[in-house]
Amino acid sequence: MKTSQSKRQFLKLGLLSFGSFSLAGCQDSTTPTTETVSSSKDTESLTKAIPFGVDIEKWKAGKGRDYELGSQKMPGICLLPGPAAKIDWPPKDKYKGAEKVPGMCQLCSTVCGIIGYVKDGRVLKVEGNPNDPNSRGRLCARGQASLNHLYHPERLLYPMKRVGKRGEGKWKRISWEEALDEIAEKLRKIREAGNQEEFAFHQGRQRSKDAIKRFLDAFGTKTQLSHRSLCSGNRRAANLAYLWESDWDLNDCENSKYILNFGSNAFEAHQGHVPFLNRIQNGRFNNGAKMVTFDVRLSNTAGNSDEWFSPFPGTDGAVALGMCHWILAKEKYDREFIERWTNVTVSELKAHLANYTPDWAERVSGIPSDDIKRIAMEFAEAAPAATTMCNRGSSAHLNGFYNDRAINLLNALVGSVGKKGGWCWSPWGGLDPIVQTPEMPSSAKTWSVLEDPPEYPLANVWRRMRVGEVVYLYLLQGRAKLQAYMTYNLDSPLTWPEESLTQEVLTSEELINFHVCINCFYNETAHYADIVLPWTTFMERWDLDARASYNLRPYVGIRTPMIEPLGESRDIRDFFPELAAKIGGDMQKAYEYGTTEDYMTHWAKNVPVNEETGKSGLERLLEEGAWENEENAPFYEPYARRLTDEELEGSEVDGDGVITKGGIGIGILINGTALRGFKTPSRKMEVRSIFINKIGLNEDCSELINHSGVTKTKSRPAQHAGHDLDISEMPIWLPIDEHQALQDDELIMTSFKWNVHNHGRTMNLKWLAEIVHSNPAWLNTETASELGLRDGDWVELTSYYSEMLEKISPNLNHRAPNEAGKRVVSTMRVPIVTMQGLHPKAIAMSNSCGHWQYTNVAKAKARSEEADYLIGSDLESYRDSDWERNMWWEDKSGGDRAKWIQNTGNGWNQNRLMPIAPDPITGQQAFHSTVVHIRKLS
Amino acid sequence: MNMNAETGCETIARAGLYELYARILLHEIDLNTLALFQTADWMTCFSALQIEIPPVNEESVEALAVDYCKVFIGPKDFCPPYQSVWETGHLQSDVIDSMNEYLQVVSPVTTESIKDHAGLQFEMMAQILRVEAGSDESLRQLPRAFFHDHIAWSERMFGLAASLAETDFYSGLLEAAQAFLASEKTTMQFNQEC
Repeated sequence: MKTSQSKRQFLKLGLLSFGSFSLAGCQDSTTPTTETVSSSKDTESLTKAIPFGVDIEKWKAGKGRDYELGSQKMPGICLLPGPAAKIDWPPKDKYKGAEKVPGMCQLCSTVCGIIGYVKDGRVLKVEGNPNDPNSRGRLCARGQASLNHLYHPERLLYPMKRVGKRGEGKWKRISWEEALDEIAEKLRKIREAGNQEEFAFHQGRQRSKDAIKRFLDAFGTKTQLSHRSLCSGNRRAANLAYLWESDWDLNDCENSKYILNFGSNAFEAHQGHVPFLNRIQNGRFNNGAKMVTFDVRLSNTAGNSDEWFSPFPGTDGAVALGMCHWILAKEKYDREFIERWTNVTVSELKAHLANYTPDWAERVSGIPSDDIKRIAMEFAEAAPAATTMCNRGSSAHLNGFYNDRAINLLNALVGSVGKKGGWCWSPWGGLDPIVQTPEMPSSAKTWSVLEDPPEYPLANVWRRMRVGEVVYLYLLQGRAKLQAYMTYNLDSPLTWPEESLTQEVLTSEELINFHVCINCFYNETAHYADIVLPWTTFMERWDLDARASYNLRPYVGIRTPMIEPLGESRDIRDFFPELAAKIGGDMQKAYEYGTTEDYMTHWAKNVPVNEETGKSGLERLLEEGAWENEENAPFYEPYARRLTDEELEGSEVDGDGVITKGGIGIGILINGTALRGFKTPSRKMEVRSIFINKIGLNEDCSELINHSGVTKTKSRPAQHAGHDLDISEMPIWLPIDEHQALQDDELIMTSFKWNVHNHGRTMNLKWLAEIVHSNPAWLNTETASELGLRDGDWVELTSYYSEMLEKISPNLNHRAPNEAGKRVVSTMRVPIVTMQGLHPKAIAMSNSCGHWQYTNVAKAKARSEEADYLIGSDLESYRDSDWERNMWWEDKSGGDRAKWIQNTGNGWNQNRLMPIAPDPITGQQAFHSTVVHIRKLS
Repeated sequence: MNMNAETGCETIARAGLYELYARILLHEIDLNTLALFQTADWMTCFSALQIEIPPVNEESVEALAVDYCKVFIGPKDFCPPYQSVWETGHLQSDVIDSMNEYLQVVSPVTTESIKDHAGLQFEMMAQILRVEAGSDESLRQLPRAFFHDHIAWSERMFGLAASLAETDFYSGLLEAAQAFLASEKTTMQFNQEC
């Protein structure tokens, strides 16, 4: 109070306020006057007149030991976090009485089992769940940082509605009722007008597939967009072309003798990450396996390998074909497997691979021919306990589909396909099929160019992989219209290519009429929303979940609410039924299963009883966290299984030996024995895929599909007519035009993930951000020297659109060329670090960095105020908040490069430089093919 | 204790101020509340404290709601009104244990689920002072203890909140809160050394 006058006024204000507010709802303010309160000398009667809730007896009984604070005597009701806490620090009984609640991490795609230590409604600690058969109790740094995620100070806790212009950043809180009413009104109009496809659901990482599908099918839209093409489209398509029944190869490294890695960074990232890494290391240290890595960059995986080679970017397939050639040339192949189980002969292969010599591969990739030959021999000699593995290093290229086709071929040649220690797979991409959700609504029948772009023939053939990176471009081009757009755990402005285009489209109310964002945090996507809904974290919601298991048999894990959701955050399982009811029509019929817990009980009911505990179903999962039927044999050599008499009853055999039943393939006759075979049209591993050629040319593939038995696969729809692409039936290698004649100051950009981050969702977690928060560009020492660059120098990078795509995919051309005839994507200024661990013609930047909306932690922005101690805190332990005290990497240069200190700031969004560049076959974003021009900044 | 009338009245006034700030912290200002603030007695007080009350209309309510959101809800560069955040940098710290102990004794009517929300704490303080304004001597220590454990921290929060607010209403009221808490320290004989 500045003056006694103002103090009096202040107290008068207090008297007016006294009893004026109904605090529970604050809807009805009474209107007292000073007469009703301040004139009262009978304070006792006044205080008694208004009910209050202080339990005097409990206070007397509960009051703790008094203590001294400085010169003050303080009453002791609270021992935490007061001075007494110091006596017992760390508290010995912190976890005493804590309940261990199982769950599943979701800070990357691997979904490892976790256990939360929960006490008094708070999660105190998270650790790996040893019952999880895939992760075996291991948990990476991301998982350890789950607490940062759950208890982040900037979590979204309330629904909000945009107030100013879209993207202006002005919001107001609204109730869930208001939010759902507004969303329902928009969606109802779209549905009633029969334009269901104009409602798009765009997901980032999602592990509630059933809940999303239920809502979208009940609504009637098939416009479900994903990021799969930005992740693993080529690898999946390459696997599917060989196998049809699985898009995910599971390399049996634990039992392997030789692991040939093309561009996978499983030690840091990868969809299998910790479970895979664990098995690779077991294979190496328990089984004596050798690991050789081909990767443009010396990743931690490459660094931990026995040998590392750095091929020219995008030439992994050439190296693989060179090895294939040599294996054939030296007669080190498995003739029996090739002749019996592939649909090509040895002589056909020799003819096809004749020109792909190791010398040719050396010219293309820069890898010495002698090493290619040597490694090919080592690999063949270790077979069948030998496997390749690959990921975005080989597949996220414009020729990535062919790269991965070529790599997979190595396994076919040496006969390690489906063998113990070899190249395996599992038809169970997720949950053990023993668990079944309550009845789902029938699938939606709409079609949208956003979900099924006709230019990419293999994007949606076997699986709905979509081509996420073209969505915003197609909207800009007017090829589709969206009346409502719901994003879910998505950060497309950061993780998608062409940041500026993404922002332009997200800002436009004309292109996206209404945008609802569901997320735990305000991020670069939420910034462009009209309504933001606060989502629960993975420790506050339900799911049954599992990944393709490296045990080669299915399992079931559970994600449970370890605590009540914080604030007003809600999961889609919780509010989708309510939203459906508000939309009306017959939507709510999809939710007649009862409560979410009823749903989970039904879903898990077939989990069998544990004889020791007597528990089954949901009750068992809640106790153990995961269940795997260990009696299931690993999925080795499924193709060699004999068909049963029952299966064969009523079957026919065609001229190729394919066994069909009702026209649908069920097996193959091999030397008079009816075997299951592969689930392909030839019932063999399809080294030659007639299907991919025919489907590329929009031909009818019904007969091939029927023979495969995978009848969910369809020929391309009528909307694809005229979008023909000639796809090679055989594994080949395709040169990338613009890579063939690089200038001295042109490099190929590659990106990578760190072992403590995922792509766009972990930089807000302070334990992780402290470890990695910035991403200067990596440059080979030799290249840097030639360009006159040293560590810490700043460079300007200018990226270009692909010349090759310009010709093949004119649908992507939306920028005019500059005076030099080049189409520029973007320009970025970054510092460099030099090292030998990178190909001389590559430049590398990690992703995950460069957030501009995603919390102060991600932005590396400490509070601006002076640090101060808190009066009510333990002076030793809490002089100020952890964040203010510990953020040593805040960039205080103000943009002045001369004042910039190395290893400060939040880095740069590498995707800003990336053009929209889908592989023309599958739509996989070619994150690693972009040519950039480099210029030193003075 | 039998308070004299003046002290008792002051305690009620202080309780009222805690109630006012609980209201301000927990919810946006609605039309009714704005209308209340525009009544003569309230306007006199606000004017004297140089706190500007906007006119009673939907536009004002909207502008205040936006400012409230910017200051306390987010979505970014805001002032989380949770003690845990200010003391440990994250939500739901050990402060919750202490609050749960107090919640055994004090039963607020507020339905706020995050137990160390400043608004909830201010309402509890109002409750406690009401009792002090009564006559139960055994409760004399409670206000001081609660103030020390769960109110004093917020002085700094109000400083940041006032600096973030764009409306005269919130910036004035939040700035005044700092002054109020400084006065409370004196009233509570709360030593800065603490």
